[in-house]
Amino acid sequence: MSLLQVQNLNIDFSTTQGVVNVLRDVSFHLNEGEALGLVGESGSGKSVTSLAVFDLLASNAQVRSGQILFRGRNIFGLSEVEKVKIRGSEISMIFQDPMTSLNPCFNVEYQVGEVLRMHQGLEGSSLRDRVIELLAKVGIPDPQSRLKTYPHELSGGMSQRVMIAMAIACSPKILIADEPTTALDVTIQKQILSLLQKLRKETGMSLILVSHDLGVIAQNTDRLLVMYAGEIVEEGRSSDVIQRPLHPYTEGLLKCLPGAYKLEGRQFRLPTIPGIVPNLAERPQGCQLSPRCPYKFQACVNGAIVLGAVGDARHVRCIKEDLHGPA
Amino acid sequence: MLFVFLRKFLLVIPTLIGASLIAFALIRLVPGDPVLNLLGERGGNPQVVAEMRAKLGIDKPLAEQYWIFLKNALHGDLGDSIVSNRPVAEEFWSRFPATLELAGVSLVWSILLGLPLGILAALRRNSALDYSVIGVSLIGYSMPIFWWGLILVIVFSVQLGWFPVSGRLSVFFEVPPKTGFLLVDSLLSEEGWSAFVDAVKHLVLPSIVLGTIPLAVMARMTRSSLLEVLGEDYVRTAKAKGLSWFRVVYVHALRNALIPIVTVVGLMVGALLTGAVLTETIFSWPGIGRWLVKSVEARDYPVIQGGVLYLAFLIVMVNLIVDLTYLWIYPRMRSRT
Ligand SMILES: Nc1ncnc2c1ncn2[C@@H]1O[C@H](COP(=O)(O)OP(=O)(O)O)[C@@H](O)[C@H]1O
Ligand SMILES: [Mg+2]
Repeated sequence: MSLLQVQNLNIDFSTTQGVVNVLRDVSFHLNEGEALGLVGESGSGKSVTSLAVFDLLASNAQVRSGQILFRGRNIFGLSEVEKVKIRGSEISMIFQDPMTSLNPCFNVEYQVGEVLRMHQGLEGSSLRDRVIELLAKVGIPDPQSRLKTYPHELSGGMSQRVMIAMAIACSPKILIADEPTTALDVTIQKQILSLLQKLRKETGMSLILVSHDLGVIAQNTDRLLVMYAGEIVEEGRSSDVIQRPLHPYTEGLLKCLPGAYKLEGRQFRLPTIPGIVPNLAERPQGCQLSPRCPYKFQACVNGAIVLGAVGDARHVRCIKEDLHGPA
Repeated sequence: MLFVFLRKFLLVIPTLIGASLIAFALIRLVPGDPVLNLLGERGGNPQVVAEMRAKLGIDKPLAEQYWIFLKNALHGDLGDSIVSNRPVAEEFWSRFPATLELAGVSLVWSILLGLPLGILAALRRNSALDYSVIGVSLIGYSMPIFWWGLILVIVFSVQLGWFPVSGRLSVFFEVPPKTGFLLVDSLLSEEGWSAFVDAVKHLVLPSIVLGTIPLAVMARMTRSSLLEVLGEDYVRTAKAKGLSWFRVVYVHALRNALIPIVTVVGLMVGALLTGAVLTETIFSWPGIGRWLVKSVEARDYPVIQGGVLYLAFLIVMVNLIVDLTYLWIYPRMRSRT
């Protein structure tokens, strides 16, 4: 059985525009030790999906249906005490903006140490030693001297390393990294991503890497999910998806990338992806991409499109190839 | 950091000069004159009046008078009260404990009540409790102090007879002044506990009146500050770390929410000391406020100039302490220049 299983998750938000259906029938699984990518334009529901795993959604969110099974137990069915025990110890998370994700009032030792005190009851010098060890592990030079540092004295890259140290402190089974490098410089991005890879290999934890950048996802994950307007539109092994995207949206994302991922011998009718993500309060009929899709058929807007299996371990929410055969 | 402090410290001087200048000018703009006040309605022999004016130094040009006042003040001499002939400094310090006791009690209860009310309102946003806190604090804030004081006196003193109408202590208690704070002195006196209870009873109504606006400000400020902080990224991090709800709110959020609250408390100290003028008048509280009001009536120039200067100095000092408190709560300030 998979480590994590998200099943038919539907999440609504109550807003001033009324109830908005943000996640639509999201299902996926995560295997032990696997690196899973979650890619899509901003606003496609990646962060909502990530936070749902923690049951840490904003107070105006409502899980309409579906469940999230972690080691076979439904997260939404757990008591607050049980959830608090899982958060930060068995499943942890790092965020997009490391500078604002650390509390400005507490130093590094306190913030990293707090996780260990809460979950493992460490105190005193054994706590401090463990914090130093963790800081060294995430590549912070001279960790001893960094203990009393406050977040405002750290660069973005250093802050993200501290966040990672905090996240891996209790050797979690799953680390969710929500756009961990989006706010960082390109060179720092590479360092953080390779640090995540290194840690995953060393500890055997699973990684859910979230990004709007298909290139980042393709390079750093085994398998990926493409999200659009709160739906999963494509799923497959990262190398397969990159080589042969099945969904027009994935195709468009790929086309946006510079150099390295250009597909040879294929004609694109999408120079980029024109248009914008639909307003989730007024979703289009049928396929959510249809207003932007160059392949659009009448059948696309007649009714909901299902996520169908294509060969081995691939899924796509598109009827293009059914109607036309492979392009 | 040192630089910031030095700059703040240097700003104290123009602030004090400004405050004393305003007090100096305003009291002289009020019609009337201390000598005529002393001699009574009829005035008296013009020659006597002129002699007294000369003795008090108020016959000199205004600029010269101010200069003399400033020069003496720099040497720590604020002059003597025209009415009592005692040094202004001595008069000030003999009355200050009464005001400080009243303001202190008001501040403490408004914080002790305002902080938890604000926190509760923020945590139960849009609940009935939240709306009541917002509503009551709005009413409290806009309440005319004088009217509010009189209502309390009529209901709780005159009709119900629960609390005394005025003063700090009933006449039949003999409490020798040691610290000037009756809550302390009463316990040290022979009457002990019963005198203490009497002093507390005298404090209840004035401190409610004086603390009402600070309470309203405190509750509203705490609510909005905490609400803002609860939406911050680091609060989400704290939750994702698996901290208990209690730790998330009271350690991670509240510490940050305190920053604007401390500012407000600092401002409130100033408001309390000045607000004491009205409250002390309503309740005949023998403190700085009532003393200043009486001195205005008597056109006691040195008292007004000196008293205001002292108050301004104290308020400025409180603000410096607030700045120090920031450094303690908010490490980022420590390296800011
Ligand atoms: N607290 C909220 N209230 C209302 N709508 C929200 C809230 N959080 C997220 N959304 C909506 O959910 C959608 C998906 O958001 P998000 O998961 O943050 O996107 P992504 O992480 O992919 O950029 C967006 O349309 C966003 O407006
Ligand atoms: Mg996001």
